[in-house]
Amino acid sequence: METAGGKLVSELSRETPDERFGRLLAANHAPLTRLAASYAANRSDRDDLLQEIAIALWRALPSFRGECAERTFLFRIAHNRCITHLSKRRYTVSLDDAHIDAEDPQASSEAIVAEEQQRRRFVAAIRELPVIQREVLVLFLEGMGYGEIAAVVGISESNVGVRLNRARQKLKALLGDRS
Amino acid sequence: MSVDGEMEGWRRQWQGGAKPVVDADAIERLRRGVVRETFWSKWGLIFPIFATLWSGATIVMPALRSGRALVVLLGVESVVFIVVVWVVAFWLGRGTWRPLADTTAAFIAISIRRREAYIRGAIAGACLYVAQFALLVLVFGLSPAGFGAVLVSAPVMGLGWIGIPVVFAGLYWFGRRQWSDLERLRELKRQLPSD
Repeated sequence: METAGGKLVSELSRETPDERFGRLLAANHAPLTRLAASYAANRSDRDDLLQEIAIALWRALPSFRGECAERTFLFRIAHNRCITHLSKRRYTVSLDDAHIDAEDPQASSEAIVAEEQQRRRFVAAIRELPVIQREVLVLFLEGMGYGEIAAVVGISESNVGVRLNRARQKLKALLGDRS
Repeated sequence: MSVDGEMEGWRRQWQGGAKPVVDADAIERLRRGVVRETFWSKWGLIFPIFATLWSGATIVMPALRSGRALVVLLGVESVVFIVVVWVVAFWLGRGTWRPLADTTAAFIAISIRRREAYIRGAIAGACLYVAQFALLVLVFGLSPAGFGAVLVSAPVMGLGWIGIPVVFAGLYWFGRRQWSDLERLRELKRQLPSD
């Protein structure tokens, strides 16, 4: 059996937990950062959430027996941490906080600046979506199919489709309001 | 624009937000943080057990050796009190260890149960503290020294007249934070059935 990361289960069993943990983090750092950003209020909050996800992954990895793709397993843990993290949010989101990752502050090109502003608006709009819509949309934007999203979130594929459609309509409206 | 085209555009915009390169420093920071957190969480589990055993032993052994009935009684009562605290903690924590399923609803539900347990724990902690304090004042007050001397003694001043307001203020602050989290979680839960 092959995992989403391209590793055979027999190869995985030879990895130490520390090696597996490092490999998974390295391979999924950018998607996890984006996922955390969609649930965090600002950059510091995002980093805290990323840390919580890493700790949860470290604790859960020994129980992983290859029943599902590694990525599904990883995102299920990350998603659950994000949901738990929502209860701790004590501040509101501002547009300035809506960046996903560090961009070059010295960027001189107007196109780059405009693109970054557009991206911030986009992320801010995603954060305004209800959680049940946001969770499926973010995973879809990460390139997951309905089946994998269903496995991560714990709902049926048809429900994924319904939520995704509603999320798309709502996001479109939010982006329209902001432009 | 078609739905697929729109979604594809959003996906490009979304994935363009974080650089696809591996940030080795960030990963190393995460790894160090995990090791640190794991160390402290293990101590967080071990420490109360050691503290209980240590305090139990340091109270009971001298009490038994003293041979005085009142001291032996207080030693036994202290052990009973420690057992009661553990039983209450486990009883309040039932059903809060793991979610019943891997769904968003299950995670929100267990987060709510945990916050409710923390709030009940804060109330129970306050009650147990006052009960233990009152019992000690009563026992010592009935001794030949009398209540007058006991009420102004250093232990009663520290544990009671200063300790009670401090403990209550701390528990109130803790409870307020948990209540705030609980409200947020209930709002999230209200969102779920609407879909």
